[in-house]
Amino acid sequence: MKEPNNDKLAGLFRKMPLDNPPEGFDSRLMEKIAGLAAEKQSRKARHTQTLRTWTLAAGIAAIIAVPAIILFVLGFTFDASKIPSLDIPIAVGGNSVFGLIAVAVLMLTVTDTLLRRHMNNKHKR
Amino acid sequence: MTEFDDIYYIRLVRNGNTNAFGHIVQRYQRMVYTTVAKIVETREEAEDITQEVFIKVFQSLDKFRAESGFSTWLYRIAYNTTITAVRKQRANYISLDDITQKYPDDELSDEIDSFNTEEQLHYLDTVLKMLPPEDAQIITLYYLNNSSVNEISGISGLSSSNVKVKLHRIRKFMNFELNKLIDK
Repeated sequence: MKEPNNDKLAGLFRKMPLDNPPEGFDSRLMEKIAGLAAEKQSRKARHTQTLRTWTLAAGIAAIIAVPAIILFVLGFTFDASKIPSLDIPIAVGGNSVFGLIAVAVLMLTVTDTLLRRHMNNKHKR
Repeated sequence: MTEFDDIYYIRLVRNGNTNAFGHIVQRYQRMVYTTVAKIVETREEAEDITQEVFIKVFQSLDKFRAESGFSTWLYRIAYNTTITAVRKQRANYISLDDITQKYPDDELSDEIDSFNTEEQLHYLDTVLKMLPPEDAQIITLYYLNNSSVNEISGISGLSSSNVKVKLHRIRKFMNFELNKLIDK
């Protein structure tokens, strides 16, 4: 879009100087920016930490659950009386999967408690 | 060259060098501040809005995909932020689309030359503040920042033909109102 040659309005705008922001504008702004950057950084760190915790928990769960599922699919049942050397008085009746799940839940609870304690300590520091 | 420098500093900021953002602020603050100051009433308001613009730019820097130039992208944020901020305070503006139909197609009177620069700029400021914020920004970008119609289209989200029509109406309005002020 071409300006008309006699565009006096354009001439007026050309005389208009660019204003400088008030003194200290840069420093005030950069202070806020630094605060935002720090917040972003800590958010990122928290996210990474959460991701690590979940990965660890999922790994532990998988270590326990995968063999349990395989045993369940293969129809393996555990009867302690068939292992003479163990000499366990009560035979684990029914399906061993339930026993394994109970162990898994216990281990996850312990892991969760330990991780929470670790993260709390880190946060306090 | 400027775009190259902008991209260089953007990369630094994205890599965690927050201080590099200072270079971007230095480069654009005067234009953003001036554009905003022409619309709002006080310098404090202009400073607050300009700060908000740069904070948004910083927070959105990861989203900049270089599909448009960096300056266009930054001015788009400034344009939208300013309009939202100004509209929060003053919701009622007359649309130029309706009123300029009654206005004559007069050019700015030669009498403007009889005033000194300070007076001329005072008149220009007065008329700019009468405009709706969108229109004030469009005309300021066009004349003060020398943005092309296509660039303004990219900044405002309006089509190029719409920008041309708007520029015509804004000029008509401004010439009329400036002539009125000169005649007083």
